[in-house]
Amino acid sequence: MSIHPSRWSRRAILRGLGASLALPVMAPGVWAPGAARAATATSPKRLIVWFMPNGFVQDVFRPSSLGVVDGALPSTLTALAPWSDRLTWVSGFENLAPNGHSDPHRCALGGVLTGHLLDPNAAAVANGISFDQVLAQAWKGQTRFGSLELSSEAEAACSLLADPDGGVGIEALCAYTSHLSWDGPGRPRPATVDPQAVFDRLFGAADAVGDAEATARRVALRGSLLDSVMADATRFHATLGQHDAQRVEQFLDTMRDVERSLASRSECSLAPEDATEAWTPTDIQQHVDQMHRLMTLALSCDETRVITYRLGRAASNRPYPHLGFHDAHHLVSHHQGSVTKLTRLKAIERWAMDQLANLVSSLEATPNATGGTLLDDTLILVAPELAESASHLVHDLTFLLIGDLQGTLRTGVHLSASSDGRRPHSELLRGLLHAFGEPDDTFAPTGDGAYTDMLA
Amino acid sequence: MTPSRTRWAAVLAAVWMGPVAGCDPVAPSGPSDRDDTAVDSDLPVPSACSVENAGTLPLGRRTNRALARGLADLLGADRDGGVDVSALPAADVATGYTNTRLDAVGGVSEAFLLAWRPTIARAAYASATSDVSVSVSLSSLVGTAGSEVPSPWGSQHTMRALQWGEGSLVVPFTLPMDGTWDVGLPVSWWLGWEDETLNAITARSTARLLLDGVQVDSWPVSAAFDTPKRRAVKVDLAAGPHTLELQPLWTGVGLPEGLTYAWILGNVEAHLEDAPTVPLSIAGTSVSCATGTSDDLVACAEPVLFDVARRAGSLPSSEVDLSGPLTVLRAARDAGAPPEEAIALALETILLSPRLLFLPTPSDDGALPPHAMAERLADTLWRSVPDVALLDCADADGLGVDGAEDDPCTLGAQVRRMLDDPRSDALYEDFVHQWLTLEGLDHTERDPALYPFIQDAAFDSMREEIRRIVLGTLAEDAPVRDLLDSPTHWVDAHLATLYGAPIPADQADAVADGGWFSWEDPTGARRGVLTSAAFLAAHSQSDRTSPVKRGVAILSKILCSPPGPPSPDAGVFSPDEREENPQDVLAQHRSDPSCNACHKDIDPMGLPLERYDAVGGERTRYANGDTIGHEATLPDGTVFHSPSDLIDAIVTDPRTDTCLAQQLFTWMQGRAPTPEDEPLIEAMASPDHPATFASMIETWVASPQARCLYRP
Repeated sequence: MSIHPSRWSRRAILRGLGASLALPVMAPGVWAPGAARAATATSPKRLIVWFMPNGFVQDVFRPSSLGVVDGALPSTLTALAPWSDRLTWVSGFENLAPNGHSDPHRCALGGVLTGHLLDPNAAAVANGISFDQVLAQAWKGQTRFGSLELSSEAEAACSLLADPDGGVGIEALCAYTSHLSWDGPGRPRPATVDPQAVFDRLFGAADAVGDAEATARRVALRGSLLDSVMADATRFHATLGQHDAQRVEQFLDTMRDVERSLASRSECSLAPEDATEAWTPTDIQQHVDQMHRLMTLALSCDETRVITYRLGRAASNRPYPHLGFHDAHHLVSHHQGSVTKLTRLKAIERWAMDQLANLVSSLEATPNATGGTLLDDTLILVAPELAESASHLVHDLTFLLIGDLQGTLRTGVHLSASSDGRRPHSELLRGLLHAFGEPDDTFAPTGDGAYTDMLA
Repeated sequence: MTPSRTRWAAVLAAVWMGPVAGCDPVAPSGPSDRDDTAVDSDLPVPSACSVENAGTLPLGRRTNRALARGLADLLGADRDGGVDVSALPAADVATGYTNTRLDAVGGVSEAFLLAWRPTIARAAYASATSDVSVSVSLSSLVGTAGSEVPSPWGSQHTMRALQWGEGSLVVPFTLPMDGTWDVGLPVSWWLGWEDETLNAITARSTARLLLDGVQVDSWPVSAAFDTPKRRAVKVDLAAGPHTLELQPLWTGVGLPEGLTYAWILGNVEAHLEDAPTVPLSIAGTSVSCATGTSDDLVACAEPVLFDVARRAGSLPSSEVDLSGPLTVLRAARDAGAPPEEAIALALETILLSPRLLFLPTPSDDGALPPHAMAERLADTLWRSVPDVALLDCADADGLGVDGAEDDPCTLGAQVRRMLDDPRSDALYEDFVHQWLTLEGLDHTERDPALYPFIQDAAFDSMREEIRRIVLGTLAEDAPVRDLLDSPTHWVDAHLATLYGAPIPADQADAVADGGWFSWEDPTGARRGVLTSAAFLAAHSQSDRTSPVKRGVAILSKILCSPPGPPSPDAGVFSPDEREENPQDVLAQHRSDPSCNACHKDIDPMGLPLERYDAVGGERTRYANGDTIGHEATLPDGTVFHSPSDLIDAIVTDPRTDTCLAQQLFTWMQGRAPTPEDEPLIEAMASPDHPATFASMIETWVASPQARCLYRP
């Protein structure tokens, strides 16, 4: 017997490495959800908002008629066919955020979860609390993280958003083109794009610097370190004017929240393929896939119950070369009747929904605490930036709801909220707050009351 | 770059020519109370700013780039990538430049803090190190047992094969000083193919580590592949020669004849953990610290920590309070942390303070106090934190516009010093990059079928060319306008291919090794940054050029005459060059009067650059076979026949100089200019002689806009 190093394939070595990790190995499905909380008699409700830049081609996204949906799904949604009885389309809404501004890309994203009127040329960023954060605040303390904000495309400089080829001009403020989730006026919650950062936040050691002994000392000394920082921050605070002082108070509050979430580690036992995954995607397909896996992990481990995700920023101009063409998304969305461009636009939208189907599938494959699945507990709200992609209008918007949220939502139906497509979509958001058991009819300054036709 | 005193005086005269709303200068009281050595005493030099109507911009946090550069400066790391802030959420951009003094981004989000904490921890940990370590590469060993075989773990590990009974591996090493040492090496082993016999053998086998012949560690072995794990021991050792020995201890039964096994080994490394006196590097400063008690270490580290805290918060020396960080240091030491780790924790405590993160707005007076001025100067000119020299001036109540000829602490003297410092490369890193909207290089993917030779490295070369051009302009104090029409391009191997620039024979080797040479286009067409690959590529789509993007960028950023917003039904410009001639498509677009209203101005600025493709290479035909024309006509009838004509028109356009000043003002001030700023911008544009970066910055620094409270 002799050694033949050349025959040691990388695969064999990696397999060996995986086996050597001291992680509990359990069958798929056994490890989730968070074992420590499995004794809970009820399973909580959960929200995923899934934002689609540039909207959808409507006639292949929503059923052609209202009422109960039977037969084949619109072609963009083909991959969701296994869950056709769990889909609800609600159309006829208007996102009022652009407030007369000629370019809806500047505001629609920023207002889609807040229901506020926005002005991208104002001196300062405004807006208000978003629908997802109403839930996060209502459920504060029940999970380590109030919410997660994720994205597969980074925020962009205004100069990049300005795309004269696509008729997108230059405005003063860009905050409304990147941030779905808002704590309140002037306080967006930036999304994280790096899957590794998301994984580390959820399951990593917050104080892992140096070797294990050094990490242990850091953990032990964290309280002392933070006491010192807070003491210095308090001295700093005392030197500031009122406005600046408020900012520093927000900083201190956020710091305390962060410390609370980091003070405890996840109790979840990860499956080996998750624990050893390289969360460093090399293309958009892999990026979206990893984000979806992280969403499933975060919900199954009950690290959070509220997730917002955007495939891209407003007017996303990302190309999807793996689909066989290099056209930028926003530019093909203005297809102007070109059969080639329309075909490509539909291909992008169908690909996006194919990925979403993978998320739905993994939620359904993950048991919840009551013998059902995560999908039973979760509402996926597919929120579009625009209505019809090509027209770039923000009225007659169609929202797609996936999941019945523990029986609180009607499914398998296409509902219309208005005949003119002008019902403020904030009413839908209020209605969904009812579905989550957290009604707040003071939410958002637009619209009047709650739209509840989709409630069971 | 040493502007004369006369020019500095002229600067003051120019910018104080009239009141600026919101921070009116107090009427000068006359020269009588100033000494004879002061700058021309009859100038209307202000002594204070009025706070009436001043208002403030809200407190903001430093931009990510400023945090990266500031941390690197504070910690003695490489400013170019030495501190990785890529995990931080991007700051929002307004007015065309990164600006964190706007409401939406001045606050600190949860996502930011979650990324900021480990960023700080890693940077601090990396910046406090013990300089004493010993490393012995096993691949260099000769005369010990076994023979080297190729390692599947790559160059980081060595693999040595031995026969049973051949003995152990002995590694000699020498320590330079007495102390507590952490000695060890990464190790695993390979026992051949997995089979039941071997598994049975290895189940009863042990590996041992001996230091100077005494066993210090042992562990069971396994037949499975394993990554080498570091086996180590912490022990007091004297200076001098020692040995580390790896030894198998077999308890198995009869072994197969001729069986080979192998150690998989990393380098033997010994780190000094503790010693009566330890050489340390703290934030780039080398010190030798006694470590007998935590007070000894505090006494040694405190001066360095003091400077870091002072600079991180732009604090007066009298207000630096290290009590908290030193408490952490002592607690860490008491918990058994090595000196460098205890110091790293103290650094982390300092850097996590909101003082570094935020740029506060002083609230008690219209004029910025010296330390706030120092913070502002460093944030603007260096996109970093102040250095000790600048804070010493602030401590001495300096940084005023007034002062003696030889006073190193006047505003003018410090600005000149700061512009001569390498940290002023912020002008490229931050300003020019955004001015020319080169972010497009980072975000536009190229169709590999069309541009197969364009890799990420080529984009790096494009950026580097602009950096070289800008830093050259700065170093020579050349007019900024020269950036737009200088014939000199900087070229490396990537750009030589792209530009068709012949590589000089005597530089061929250097260029092959990544070197650069200067090149002038013999046709004279490729002149200035607008014909650089960086600008051309940044204003293209992934598969074609965009004369519209290029035209809008020139109108907006070079001439400050941005076109109006596109009408809602403007449609898109998205020709397929394989089927259409983009110039025909645009001409068709202009035939619609409502489109022509903007495109009559936009298109002539972009069409002459059609000679250059979407990555900046020269071309003569579109993909559909049409010859590319360069002719374009301005609304006033001016006809451009070439890129050269366009560049000539731009540099002679009276808007260009003022626009340059306006762009730089917007970047430095953190807001768009108002009508009240026009006198200052005109003074910066310096109609009498071509403005340089230095002259424009000095003019701004002396103005109330720079020296008084921020205004909304």
